[in-house]
Amino acid sequence: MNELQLSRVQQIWLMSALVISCAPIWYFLPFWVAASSLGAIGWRAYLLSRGHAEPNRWVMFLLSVILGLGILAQFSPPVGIEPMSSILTAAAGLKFLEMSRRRESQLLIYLCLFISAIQPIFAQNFGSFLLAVFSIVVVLTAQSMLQRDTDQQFSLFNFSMEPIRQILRLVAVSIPLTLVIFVLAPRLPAFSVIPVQIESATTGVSDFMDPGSISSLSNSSEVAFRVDFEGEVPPARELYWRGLVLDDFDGRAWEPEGRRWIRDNASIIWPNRATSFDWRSETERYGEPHRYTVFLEPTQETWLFALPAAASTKESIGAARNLVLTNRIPISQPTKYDVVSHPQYRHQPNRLDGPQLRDNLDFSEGSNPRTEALIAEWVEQSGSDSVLPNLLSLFNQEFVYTMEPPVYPGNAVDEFIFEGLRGFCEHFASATAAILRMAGIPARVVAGYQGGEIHPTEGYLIVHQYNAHAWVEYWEQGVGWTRVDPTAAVAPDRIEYGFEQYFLNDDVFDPSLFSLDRFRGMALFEWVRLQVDSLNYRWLTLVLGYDTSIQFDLFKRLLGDVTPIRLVLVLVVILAALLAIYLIWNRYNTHRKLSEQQKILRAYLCQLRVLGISIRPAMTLQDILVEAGQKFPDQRANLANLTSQIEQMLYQMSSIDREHLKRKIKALKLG
Amino acid sequence: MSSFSEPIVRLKNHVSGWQGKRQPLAEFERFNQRNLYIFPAREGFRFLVIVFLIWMLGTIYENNLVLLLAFFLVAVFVSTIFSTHANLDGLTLRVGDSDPVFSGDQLRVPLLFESKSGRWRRRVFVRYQGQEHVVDIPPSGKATAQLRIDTEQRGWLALGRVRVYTRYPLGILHAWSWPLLKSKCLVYPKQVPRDTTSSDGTEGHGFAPAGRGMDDFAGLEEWRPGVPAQRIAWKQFSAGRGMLEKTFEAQASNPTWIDWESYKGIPVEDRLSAMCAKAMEMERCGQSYGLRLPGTRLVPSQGERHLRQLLTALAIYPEPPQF
Repeated sequence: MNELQLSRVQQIWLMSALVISCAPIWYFLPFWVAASSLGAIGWRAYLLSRGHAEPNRWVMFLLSVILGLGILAQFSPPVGIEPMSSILTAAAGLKFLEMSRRRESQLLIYLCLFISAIQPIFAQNFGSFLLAVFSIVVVLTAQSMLQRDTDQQFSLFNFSMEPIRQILRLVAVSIPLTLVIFVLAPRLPAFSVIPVQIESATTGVSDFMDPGSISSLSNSSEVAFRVDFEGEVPPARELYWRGLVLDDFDGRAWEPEGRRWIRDNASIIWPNRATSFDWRSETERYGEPHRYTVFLEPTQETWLFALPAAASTKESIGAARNLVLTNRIPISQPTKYDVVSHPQYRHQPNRLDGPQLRDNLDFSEGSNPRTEALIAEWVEQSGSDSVLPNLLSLFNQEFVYTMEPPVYPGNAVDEFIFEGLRGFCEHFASATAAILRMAGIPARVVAGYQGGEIHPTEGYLIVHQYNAHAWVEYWEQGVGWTRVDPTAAVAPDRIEYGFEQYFLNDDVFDPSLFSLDRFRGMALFEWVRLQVDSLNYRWLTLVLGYDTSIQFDLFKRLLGDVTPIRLVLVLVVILAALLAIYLIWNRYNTHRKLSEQQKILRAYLCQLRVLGISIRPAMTLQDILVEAGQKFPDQRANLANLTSQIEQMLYQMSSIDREHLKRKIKALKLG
Repeated sequence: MSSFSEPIVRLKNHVSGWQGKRQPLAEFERFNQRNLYIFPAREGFRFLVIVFLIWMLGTIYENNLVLLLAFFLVAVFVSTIFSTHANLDGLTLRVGDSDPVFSGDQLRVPLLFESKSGRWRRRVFVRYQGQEHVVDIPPSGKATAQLRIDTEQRGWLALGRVRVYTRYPLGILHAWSWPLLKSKCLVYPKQVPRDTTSSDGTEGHGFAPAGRGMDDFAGLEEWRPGVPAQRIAWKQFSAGRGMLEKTFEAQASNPTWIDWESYKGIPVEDRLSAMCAKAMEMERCGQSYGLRLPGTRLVPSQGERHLRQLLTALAIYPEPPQF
């Protein structure tokens, strides 16, 4: 076969490299990009089965133009990670279709290498990373197959593990150095931060709350974020993770306030940046703060979750006037941020601005007439202060907390209060805030998460998507905003013990029949789930969260002081250590891989030593024979025979039956 | 020589002198740290460019995993330095035996690679005068690369430096060595038939007394070991009279001398070529012939061994042959 032509085995390896490097990101790209790559691979496989014809040049040209136009049409403007990956995967497919020579296939290898390295931008959990490493290993194996002469026909029967073993050895040797570089290499600040738009992010919190139109709540157990507290984790009833504040009510649904006093950037204060309007004096914080780090999973939104009253010093995190934190760009990657929260605070205790007051009293008059009438009645009877206690006791006595409420298609609050009586946190929060506004008390809905699961062995807090929650804050002169959670009035256990406990107890089943089996399965499942989570947590903290500040702290701890000379010194020492390990290992290996003849000789000498014959370094086999013969005269012939066979094996390269010889040496028993 | 290229030539000489000290002419070469060199191949630089792009991507997106992959590829590059080096390290290279040829013919020179380690040595290339060969050497095994060399000069073949290199396993690094090996390959003078010249240098008809008809049958003698097969009296043997040797008058009485002095007045190489052609002709005719060269004398005889000795003496002239 021509040296320059690709053999069949090489083509198959290239195909595997292409598929494995591209497949994980096909999911995130327009379907036709994946389809075009798969089509190219299929076409090539068809051509492969019929000889070595490449497709016509004009066809190739036409295909490239079509794909290029498709990408231009799909993405406008074609910048960012998605168009780039689309172009690269499409190009790799086309290259695979037309390449026929080894030189050309190098380009494909490099494309695949780059595409494999893009994978972690789309998904950053541990499993995805392993997949990326796996695809790089396959690409490198394909690369090494290109170096070989592989004439033989590919079949499963003569499939050789040798190239794979070779690459795996290379990979294994590379891992320590990788870690060293990862820890030591300086990180450049990103020149410009580009948001990654990925559709697949899920979040249980939304900036549009219309509880009347939802008939069932998704109870995804996916992790929303994890929290590492510096001290004790506060009790569950205090864990109200505020995410966003919904002030705008249209009679059914709640949205964040779109008006100037909240949306305007002037009201968000960024660290190290001048601000035209400093509202920070509106908040008084006192008492002992909680200090914690949040590891947030991607949400594709800018809002961040924290306990009130939160403050963060991270460059990219701003504080909004309604006491929530917000990120400068949407969270498209796992993000880490440190927060200091004062659980005791007073927010805007003295006065509300005119527009704000007006907005927080707007209940869209006339949209829920029956409720408005009822509240007017209550206020008339015992004043507006009694509305909230009345309402909560009403909820407690007559309402049911459920995950599967009826739909309230018309006047949502009216239908909920007077007809349905069933709902989940959003129904209760919506109704409560609306009713408070009807009674002339400024109120707003807060969306976020409530509670969380404490990892039994690691101690950090896991907040799942099913912890998503909505509650109410109302305003009082002199006190400021106060939290009230109407759900707690209906289902106090939901708040005290958490979501899963609440529904586990709610679930009615015969414990005697199923419990043992069920719990055994659950215990194992629980254990595995928690182990996986702690692995992911480690991954987040050690790898994803490794940044310049951690690096600096680490150096400081190890070196005492961080100076360039010390860093260089550390690098040199580590490299020297790795080199020494390599050399020792190499030496060990060559000793271990003694030829079989040497092994037999060794076995022979060892056996004689065991039998009490002293062997000095300078002795020849004949000397040893003489010595052994003197000690065991009756075995002299047998020993002479063995010696001559070993000599023949060693020096004449004659084909002695080695197995037979080994057995004879083993059977050697003298005296 | 222009003054412009002089420094380059001096540098070249300097390098080849340095090279000569590191890898002097040797019976065999065992590759090790002293005589192996390694440098990124062209693909290796491309590989590094890709790694740099990946690193840029990781920096722009502030993605630690992409950076980790970039660092992993850097580490793979570094490990490949060792594994590419190890693909040649410890191999032994020697020049194998080859049949002598006449000058102008093609000589086949086997280069023998021998490995004592327990792993495959893949894709070891040999480059020599525009030809390239590739061998895979099995664990504790041998492999041969056959060089084909068009000979121009008689004598021991001076092989010159052979470039041995490998890019295995990833093709991104290039390890090489330039062994300078002694060869045991002999090139005989070219055969150019030519009449002898008389002692004054004019052409004449030589070999006067020992002409044709010298192989007249003379009688039978008792057979001795070592007698060529064509001289055994097979007829008598089959008749049950035992092994007898046919003796010929010419062998005993009138051997032909291929004499240096018979070719006076022509250049040395032409003389040797003519003598070479004559010896071949004699051997073909089954005659006995001897050699007279300045400083060397071979008594008349015939047969394969004799011919080889004679041609060797001609090939290495003026060095005296040692048998």
